[in-house]
Amino acid sequence: MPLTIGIDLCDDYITAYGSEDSVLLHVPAVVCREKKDDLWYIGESAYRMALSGKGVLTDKLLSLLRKKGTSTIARKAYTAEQLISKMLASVLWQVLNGRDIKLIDRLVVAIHKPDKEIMDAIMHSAEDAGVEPGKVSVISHAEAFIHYTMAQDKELYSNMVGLFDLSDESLSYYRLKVIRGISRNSVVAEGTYLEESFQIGILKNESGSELGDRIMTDAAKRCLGNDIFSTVFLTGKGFERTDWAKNFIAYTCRRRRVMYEKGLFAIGAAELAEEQFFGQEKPYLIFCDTRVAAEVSMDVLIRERKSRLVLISPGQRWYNAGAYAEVMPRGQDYLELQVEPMDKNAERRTIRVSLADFPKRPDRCTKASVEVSFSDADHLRVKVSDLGFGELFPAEDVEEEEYIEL
Amino acid sequence: MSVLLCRQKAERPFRHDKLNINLWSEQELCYVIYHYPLLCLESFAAEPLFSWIERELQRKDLAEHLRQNRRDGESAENQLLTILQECTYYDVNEVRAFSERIQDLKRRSPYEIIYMEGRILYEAGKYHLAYEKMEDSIKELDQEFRRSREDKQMDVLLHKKADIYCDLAVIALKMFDDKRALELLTSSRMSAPNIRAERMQYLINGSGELSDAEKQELDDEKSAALAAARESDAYREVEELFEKDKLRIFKDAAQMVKQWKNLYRSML
Repeated sequence: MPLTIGIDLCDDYITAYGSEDSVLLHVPAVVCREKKDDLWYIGESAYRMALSGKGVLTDKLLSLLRKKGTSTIARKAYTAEQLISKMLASVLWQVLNGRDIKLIDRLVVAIHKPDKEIMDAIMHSAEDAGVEPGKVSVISHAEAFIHYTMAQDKELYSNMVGLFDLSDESLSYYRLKVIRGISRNSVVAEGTYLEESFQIGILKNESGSELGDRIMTDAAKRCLGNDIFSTVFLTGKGFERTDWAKNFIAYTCRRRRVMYEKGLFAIGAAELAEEQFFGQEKPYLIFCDTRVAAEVSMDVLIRERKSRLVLISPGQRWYNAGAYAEVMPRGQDYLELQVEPMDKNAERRTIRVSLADFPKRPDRCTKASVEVSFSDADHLRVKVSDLGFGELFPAEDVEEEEYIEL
Repeated sequence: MSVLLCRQKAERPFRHDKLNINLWSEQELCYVIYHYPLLCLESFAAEPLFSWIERELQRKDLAEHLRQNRRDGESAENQLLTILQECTYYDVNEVRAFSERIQDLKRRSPYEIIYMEGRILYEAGKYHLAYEKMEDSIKELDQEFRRSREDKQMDVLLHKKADIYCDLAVIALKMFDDKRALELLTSSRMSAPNIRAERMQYLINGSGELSDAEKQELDDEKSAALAAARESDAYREVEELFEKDKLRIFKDAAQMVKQWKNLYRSML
């Protein structure tokens, strides 16, 4: 039986969900190193170690990573990436402890919002923690929400699906919709932080509970509006008990199913991990903050026939999306890329990359490489480099770079 | 106006011995065939090329087509046409023009074709190979001379021979061999009296049977050329070298001489 794991990594909690359909771990996302020895603890053990004065604790690791900060423990400065690596190593050690399996077959980590640098750091951390390169993926909560929802009964997503995530310090709302297509369905999900977040500590007393209920009810009215929802999911520490949210639950339950799922994002990530391991392909296209919402192509001639060379396909994950092609302009000193958004209301655009600064050579004697990659879901980087024309016209160190907002 | 999609270059190149260069793609192969057809007629379209097309360009269909053509006794020029047509680097009109060019070449005498090969090599900067070709063209021309019966035709051939000797002298000068250049100019004048040889000789050593006006004209041309050379980047580079401190002079001069040597080697 392969071991595939989905992890939800937040500033406050880390949740691991395994292929055996169970929450493997759900602990505070803190890491503690013993002052004397290079021993690391996570979760409650980390708190205990810090309280006993034997260790130094670091929390909010993702925020630390975003700020490119460090934490000095026992006169040694640790980067956030190193600390996350220690935390992941401890999580994986706890998951593997007592099992015959010693290797993770697939790991998917879900974070709130995708960011290239953070995703890079988590990939490296996971590899440092012992997961083989190529077996790690990082996705967003929105994508994890899609994988979770699409693994449920169809009735639950026949109309729109909402999700409230109430954690220690933030409140997020997600919305998912399945768009039926002629050849293939698409699933679109988007999420946003809600301004009316509150510390869930206030829910411990009556007046705080009332305030929390009022805030959540207003947020639900605003977010759900008059749209038709099949299901509204609730997740996060704030919804572990719902006795404080009577009005919110009453409003949300009107003509809608309301379900609570602990570790929803970890489960979604685990669903993907399993699919990736078995090489299953989704029967639908995914559009969310980890996916490209446009097709990027070039019109080229292949054996004198005009063809469209698709460099980036819509629905592709932008994090590792990239393309490389070698082309040769004929009778022109520029290249053109077509950007066709999936949103039918948005206009098709043509991006022209000038090669006017390339060395002057006879026509068809300049070969150029075209490389496309993403810095995030909306920003495409196009790099065109001179490849010359063999030994007849050697390449020169000339390149053009364009950043295109999709 | 369009953009051609290229395959990534071959892992191993095909060596074009006559041009002394490596070819890395089907576009380069087509370019060489189109621009230097004379250098691609003899033994070029043979099994080593077919194997390279099959293995490195991954065009098994084309390689098989060429092999079949060869078995059917297809001519070398038709093999070149097949490559141009199949690779589509040149359009239909360009391939047709190429075909006409080949037909035109076939109507020429053997010495002319060899001479043209020499010219192409000269223009490609392969001076040593160009020199050999032009020498061969003189030998071929001599045979044609011996076969010719008409005085007029013999006169044309002698003047052509004189001209080719002048071309050889130009190559010798390019290779910094003034002594040989002068010998070649003598041969040129012996073949047929010609003003080109006289002018070149005057430019080399100040002799030559020229009128004062012609000498003055050449002196002016030489002065203008020297003045232009003094303004050139290469001259300025040498001048700047001597403005540097002693250690840098030796280091940069060594680098410069190395570049010159490489340039000289590429001519061979």
